[in-house]
Amino acid sequence: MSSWLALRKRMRLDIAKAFSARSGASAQDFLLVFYDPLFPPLIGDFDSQYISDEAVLQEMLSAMSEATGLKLSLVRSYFSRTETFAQFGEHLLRAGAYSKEKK
Amino acid sequence: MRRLAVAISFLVASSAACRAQISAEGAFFFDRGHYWIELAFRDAAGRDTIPPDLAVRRFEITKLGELSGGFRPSKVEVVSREKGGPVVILASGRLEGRSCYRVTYASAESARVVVDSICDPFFAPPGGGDCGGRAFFRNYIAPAFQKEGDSYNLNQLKYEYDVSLEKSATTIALEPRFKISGLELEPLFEQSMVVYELERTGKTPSNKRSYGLSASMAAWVEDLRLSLSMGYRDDRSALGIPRGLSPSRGA
Repeated sequence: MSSWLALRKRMRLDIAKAFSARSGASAQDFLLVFYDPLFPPLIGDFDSQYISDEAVLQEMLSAMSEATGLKLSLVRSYFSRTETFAQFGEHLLRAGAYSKEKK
Repeated sequence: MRRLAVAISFLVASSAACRAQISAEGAFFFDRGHYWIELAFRDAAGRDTIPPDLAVRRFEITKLGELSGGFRPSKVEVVSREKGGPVVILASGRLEGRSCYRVTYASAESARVVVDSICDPFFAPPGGGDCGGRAFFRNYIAPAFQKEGDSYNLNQLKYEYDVSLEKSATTIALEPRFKISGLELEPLFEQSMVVYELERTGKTPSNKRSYGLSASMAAWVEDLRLSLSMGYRDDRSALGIPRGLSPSRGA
């Protein structure tokens, strides 16, 4: 069994990497504003500010799919504008992110 | 008496110094149909450690914001990881989703350890934290002032009042902007009332009501930017009856 603390830390960094690289924001700024606060802004806030079009979003979700080993359609199904990035990451962990690597 | 007090304080100080200083961080998670709390203990040097006494009675879990007091975990288990040090897993049927917990660990060998705010990522603060006006502001007003590409979304919520010798005008307009899966919608509602002070007829009100909707969508098809815009606007004006004229004379 993997440590959930370790999985969360890894997910946090993967989300920061995937969403900051294509948005022009630094990973540190992304974490500071959109991930680490106790009550962070919603994904919708990030979307309207940094995701210029569908192609950019597709790239971000593909990067998450690659990092977590989950299917792109599954990653996309959990991407909701009304939730936070931490909740998005939690959905992916519960869906079995990184589980393929353990075997 | 003074010597006794000094001796007691020395004993207390030395016993505290002998206790191992440990810290911990925690995670609340859902796995295999249950909620669990994971604790990672570290010694004073920051190395992963497991306290020697992991009896259930050493732990107390308190749900934050609840006055009913704490409870003990039903099971405490040490789990080894493939990478990194081992962690302690607390199980209890009383753990609930969308909640925050505080875990206290106390044993004779180590100083008391308190891990605060071990929260489900889906926890929402009591009272919603984002309800009513705040939610409206966050969803519709704040995004209006965020930069998007090369343009700013400028939602309008304006109120104007103009008084001059010949007329007084009041206008209220609401132009929020929504983005729903690539489609941008901008409904418009504007109501204005102008009261003219005419020498011959006295005060004459004039009402103008406008409403409309514009929708646009844009997408890149390789290097070509395609955009589609549609709009509808309806303006209705009504001139009131001057106060100097009675309804029967006006008709």
